[in-house]
Amino acid sequence: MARGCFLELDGKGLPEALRELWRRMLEGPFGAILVPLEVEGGLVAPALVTSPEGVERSRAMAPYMGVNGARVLQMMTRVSPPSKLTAAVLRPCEVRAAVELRKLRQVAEENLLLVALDCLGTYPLEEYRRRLEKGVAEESEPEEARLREACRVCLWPVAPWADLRVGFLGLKGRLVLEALTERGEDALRQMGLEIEELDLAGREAQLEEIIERRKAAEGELLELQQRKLKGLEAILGALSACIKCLNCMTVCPLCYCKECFFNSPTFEMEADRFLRLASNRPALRMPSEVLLFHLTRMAHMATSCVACGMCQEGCPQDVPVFRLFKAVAKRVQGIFDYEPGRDPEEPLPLATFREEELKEVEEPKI
Amino acid sequence: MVKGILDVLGLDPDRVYLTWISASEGPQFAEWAKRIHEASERKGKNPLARALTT
Repeated sequence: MARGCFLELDGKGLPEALRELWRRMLEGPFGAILVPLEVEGGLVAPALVTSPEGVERSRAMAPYMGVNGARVLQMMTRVSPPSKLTAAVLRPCEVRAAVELRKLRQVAEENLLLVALDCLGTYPLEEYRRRLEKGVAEESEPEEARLREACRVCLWPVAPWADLRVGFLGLKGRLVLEALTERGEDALRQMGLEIEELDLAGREAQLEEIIERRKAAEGELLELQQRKLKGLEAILGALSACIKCLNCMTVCPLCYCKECFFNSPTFEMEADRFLRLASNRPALRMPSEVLLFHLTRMAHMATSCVACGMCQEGCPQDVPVFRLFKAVAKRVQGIFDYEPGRDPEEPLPLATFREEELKEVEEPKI
Repeated sequence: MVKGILDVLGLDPDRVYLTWISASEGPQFAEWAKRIHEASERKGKNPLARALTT
């Protein structure tokens, strides 16, 4: 049974109740929190807050995600973990990516608690700006049809794992703080909250409804990929718009190589090598090797892809990268029965040795 | 996994092989080289080799 506590909203809106929670965290055991916050110009970005007054500008219910927070944690804890207890308030896709990066030892564990806030989805930048102009910065029920494609097919409005889960979906007039780890429980206690067994039956029933709806949308998207984005003609047709800016790779929280193969000397080719490539075919489209680039990225991160869709937001050319990566990740994760971010103890499929596996793709011994 | 990726994208996964051959298994290596060569002849040139976008 889930453990934690409920917080009554007492007539306050969700955004204000959450600000109060972050304040309480900073007054309690936390030296810092990373939380979506309104920055200059009105846009929302993840920001580090170390004092209760900084919390005023926090906008955790803003349906906009410009960067996957796991990327931020990777940058922030690359050299050393924080010396003060820090809470990262993240969306489920960000927590799942952070869990995967921890498995790759690229996000610190020490002094860093992952706090997952329920999320129904986020808008593309342009749509969010339109809403900002109308004075709407935060929404608890964003308009499904206008969400990013990745959000419309997301099966994780609630994170499968986190130290603390902050939930509002399926609850009326209150928040739930669920501790899934000992560190999570300790934090709640140090905030002066009492931990009890939680009855979340009503919440779970509503979540199931959302997930069923999302599964149908996911099925449609995968079917669309199989119908329209399959085969050499279709794939090259889609990738021929790629300008190899590498944005998809830069914003991907799971493109984990410290030095990218595509920035390596392998691709510092003499001009004549391009001419040779061109001489075997009617013409060579430049920049070359876009298919190789995307296939390599898939082979590297498909097992851990959390389908956050940041690749799509980063693409200036409208290459349907999310559709392609989503379809590939679904298949590859199915092969290994692996769900990224589900459990920090679940080993990465490609870092696990099993003497007997995948016999069906192995050629017979001769 | 690579075969899975190629299959989803509709790129021929049968052009990828996975087999284990130890350093002492020279004849097996030769046999696989032969088989792959024959299979490639049967399949003909990789359609990607004539594509403009690579």
